[in-house]
Amino acid sequence: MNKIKDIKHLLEAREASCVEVTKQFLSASQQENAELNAYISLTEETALKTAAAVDKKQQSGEKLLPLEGIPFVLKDNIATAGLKTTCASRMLENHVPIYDAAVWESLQKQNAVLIGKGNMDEFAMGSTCETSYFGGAKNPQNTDYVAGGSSGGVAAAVAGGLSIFGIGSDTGGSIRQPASFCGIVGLKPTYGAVSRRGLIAYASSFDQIGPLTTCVEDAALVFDAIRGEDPLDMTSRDSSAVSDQLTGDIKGLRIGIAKEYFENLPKDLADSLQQAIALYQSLGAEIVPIEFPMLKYSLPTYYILACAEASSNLGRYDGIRYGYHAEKFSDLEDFVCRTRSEGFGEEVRRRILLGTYVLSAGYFDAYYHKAQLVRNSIKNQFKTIFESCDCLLTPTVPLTAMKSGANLDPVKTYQTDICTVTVNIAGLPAVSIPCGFDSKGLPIGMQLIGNQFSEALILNTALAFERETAEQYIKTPDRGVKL
Amino acid sequence: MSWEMVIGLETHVELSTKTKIFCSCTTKFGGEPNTHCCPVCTGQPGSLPVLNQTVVEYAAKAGLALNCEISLKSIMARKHYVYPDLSKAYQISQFEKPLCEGGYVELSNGKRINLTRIHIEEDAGKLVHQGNTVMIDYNRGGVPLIEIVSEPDIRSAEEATEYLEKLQIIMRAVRVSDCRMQEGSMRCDVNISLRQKGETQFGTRSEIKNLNSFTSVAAAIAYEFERQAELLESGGRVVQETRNFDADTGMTSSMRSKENADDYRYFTDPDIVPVVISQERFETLKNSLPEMPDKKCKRYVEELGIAEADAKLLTKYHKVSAYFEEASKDCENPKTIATFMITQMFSLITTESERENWSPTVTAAQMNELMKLLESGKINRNLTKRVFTQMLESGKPAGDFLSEKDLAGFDDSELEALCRAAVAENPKSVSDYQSGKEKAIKALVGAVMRQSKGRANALEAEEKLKAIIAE
Amino acid sequence: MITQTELEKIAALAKLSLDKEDTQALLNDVSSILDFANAIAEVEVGELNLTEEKTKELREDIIYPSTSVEDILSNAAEQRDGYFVARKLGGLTDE
Repeated sequence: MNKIKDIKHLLEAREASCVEVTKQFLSASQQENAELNAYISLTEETALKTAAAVDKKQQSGEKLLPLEGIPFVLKDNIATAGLKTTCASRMLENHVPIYDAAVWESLQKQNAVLIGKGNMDEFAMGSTCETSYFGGAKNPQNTDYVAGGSSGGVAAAVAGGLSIFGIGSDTGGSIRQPASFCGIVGLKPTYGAVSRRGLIAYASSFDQIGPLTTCVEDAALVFDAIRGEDPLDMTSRDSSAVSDQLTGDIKGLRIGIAKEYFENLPKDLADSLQQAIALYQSLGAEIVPIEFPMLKYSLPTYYILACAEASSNLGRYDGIRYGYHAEKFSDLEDFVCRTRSEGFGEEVRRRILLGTYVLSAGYFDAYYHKAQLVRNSIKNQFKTIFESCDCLLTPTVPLTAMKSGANLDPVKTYQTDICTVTVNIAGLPAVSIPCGFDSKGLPIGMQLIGNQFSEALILNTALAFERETAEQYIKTPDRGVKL
Repeated sequence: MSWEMVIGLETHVELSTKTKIFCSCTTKFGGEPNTHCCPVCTGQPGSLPVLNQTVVEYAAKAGLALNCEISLKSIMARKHYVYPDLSKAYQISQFEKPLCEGGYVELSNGKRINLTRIHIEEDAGKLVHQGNTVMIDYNRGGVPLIEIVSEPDIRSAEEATEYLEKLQIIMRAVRVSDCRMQEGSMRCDVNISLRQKGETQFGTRSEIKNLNSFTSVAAAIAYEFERQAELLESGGRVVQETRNFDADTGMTSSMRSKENADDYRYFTDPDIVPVVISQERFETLKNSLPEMPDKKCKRYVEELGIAEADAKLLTKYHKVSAYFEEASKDCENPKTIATFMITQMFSLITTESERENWSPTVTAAQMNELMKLLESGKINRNLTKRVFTQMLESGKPAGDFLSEKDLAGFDDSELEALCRAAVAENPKSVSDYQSGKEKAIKALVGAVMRQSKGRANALEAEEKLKAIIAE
Repeated sequence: MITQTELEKIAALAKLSLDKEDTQALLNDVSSILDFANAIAEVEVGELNLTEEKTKELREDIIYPSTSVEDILSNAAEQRDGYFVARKLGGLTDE
């Protein structure tokens, strides 16, 4: 598959200009989007302008920055001033932000080439990309299946060879799950490592921005470019660079296996993961059995707290300052209610109602407050876990991609998040890498979870597997750009 | 039936920081609509709050000045309700762990009005109703406020207005707010209920809003007292509700709202880390508090011997007391300066606003110089007054108006000569005085003063004249 | 588990209209999600402590230029003379 270094090589060896490369990616994206629906909008003008600037810099002999000239896709819940940012919702269908998100500022500084805004579940609420107002994104491995959610469009673009890397957001698994379904790498950094300024909020204490890439090395490069403490995001924190810490050597690493993650796994997934575990052992890692009894409470805890925060964050959409607005209404209150009911999709409305309920008088203690306590308990349990091991190895999702239009009921869908949500509850970093294929040929993902700010460790662990398996689990797509 | 009114006040005070509480937009009053705004204070998607350090410090100072317990760690919370002037559909405020708890305001009769708490919050925008529409300006949105909640200790309209006046003086003394009701930097809601005198249980209270002056507060309380008393005496019950005060009619009326009982769904704001003040910073803030006006007034009365009414005037505004203290530096008798300021300056600087800004043409240093000359006896009161007037008009120091002769003082022989001359030139006044008209001496004193161009000491002249006449 | 009345109350708080909703389906969905959420009722946990939270240096009180009023109003449904405009009545005839 195409990597950052492939583009770098082309540009530095002057085998192609950045404009030429960009046009290829734009053209492929345009062509494939009818089928994949990976993008909500293509940002041709911005892309070509940046590419021209990169070429100019290249000609002057200046050394290129790590992500300079690299085509990428940005999830459409990240604010790009002057460019539509829709959150895949009717509510923001024509919304043009008046400021840039911090991560977009960082990528502009690097002259990374923005190919387009990635499709997603509406307001990042969903696990299939199908709650998108613009229709779901399809899995490039097999378009009868979903790309996953909520960063489904981003994953599809990268896995489909339409962008070299993607920037997604992860609240309960939204980077890792689509990465797993589409067979690529997805990193959710430690909470606070990447600024949330300009990320249109779903659940403030869970949301985190991160890279989707075709290899581990690229995930490290992108993370280094976007991490950093932002004085304008009070929850952001300082972190260290990881790219120069990747050796691929994991001798003596203690990998924790918590049986609770492996209960009721379909056979092909169970086999795939067992093979991965055996591989790690052969590379010198120590496998440590771990107990994680609190795991089963993570889903309800997540949904209570995330929906509560979502109901609060989405209160501002009232049709007055921005966004969709109702045309027919009887008074101001009715205007607001109709605007919201018409502007928001079903899943979003459901989560707002749920969130409002768990915060309301009479239910706050039993739901919201209790969930806060359970959250704290889970955080503490992880502290104990990381005393006995350096990272946890788990499946990313206990299944492979669902069929498009499967339309599972809400609770069944929520239950597929069991392996990913715990990470967001504790604010820990986690990476998903492909580790197999199921009987249908759909990718299987393996997740590595580390302690706070241990991105270097988990990426290094992932790199060891990638190298040892000669990337056999990252399939080059039949479509997209062939460099 | 002997009714007692039970009143608690919720006062919102706008902090005079340069920027808003969660963004770096200016807090300057006025300005064209929506010109002091940014993505944060207009609640744009993806925007995040960034807490202003000075807001926390001003709020802590206000709490310290009001004798509160300050929490070195407090929490910001979201308070949810929907109204067009609230850009995020929640107000960032404080709920479970406010910055300040307890505290009190002491009235002049010694009674303490206890406070429940003081917390930090953000202001909403402004609405302008125009026919079928409502127009919204978010310039005021995000301006920092503290909400000061009193216990229901107030028992009369007089106590209420005195409490508010004292709050105002204290907030201005610590320089955290201009605290002007007419400008909206101080807003007050009244909670009032009635009960029989001697009763300990609280009655049902009503909340009165839209009070724009101390007079309105007093009028609203008076009206509510009558309304509730009448209602209760006729066997009715007071409804717990919010009422609007109309300054023109002096009446309160029920505010009909479609909201079901407000469920604010408070929870800790996840975008804001806990507000922490280090012990060190806390000590610095505590030590930086100026002397409170009440304490200063007491000191002027007890230590400097200044009359209470004068002391009150001098300590009402910190600029006035600062001026006085500089003007009386190293002087033997500050009381003289106090009196001089009250009689000579306060008669010229008459409005509250002028007094608050206290910027006379005569600087404190110049005043100090002049007063020292008076104290040394080099010049007398009349000359002092005249020179002062000239200083006031020109802005120049005393030295410009005093000749060497003036400063040399007025010796006895010169005075003697002038008196004898006055006696010689005013025989009628002399004979009038001799025949018992006491007042006639004043004419002679006047003559001496004129001849001496005001430099003579009037009292000394009078005595000398009497002695000469008696010869 | 959640009654129709409760749902209406919550919808009013959340400023969502239930008019076009399939209320029964919504009630079922929300009820089943609440059942699912209720799992935490059985777990015993200790009280919260706030000591863990990292502190941060707060912003200095320095004025930065505000966003232009044109940009602030650029996404508004309606604006007039620099104000956002919200209508109190629009297009619904008596039925």
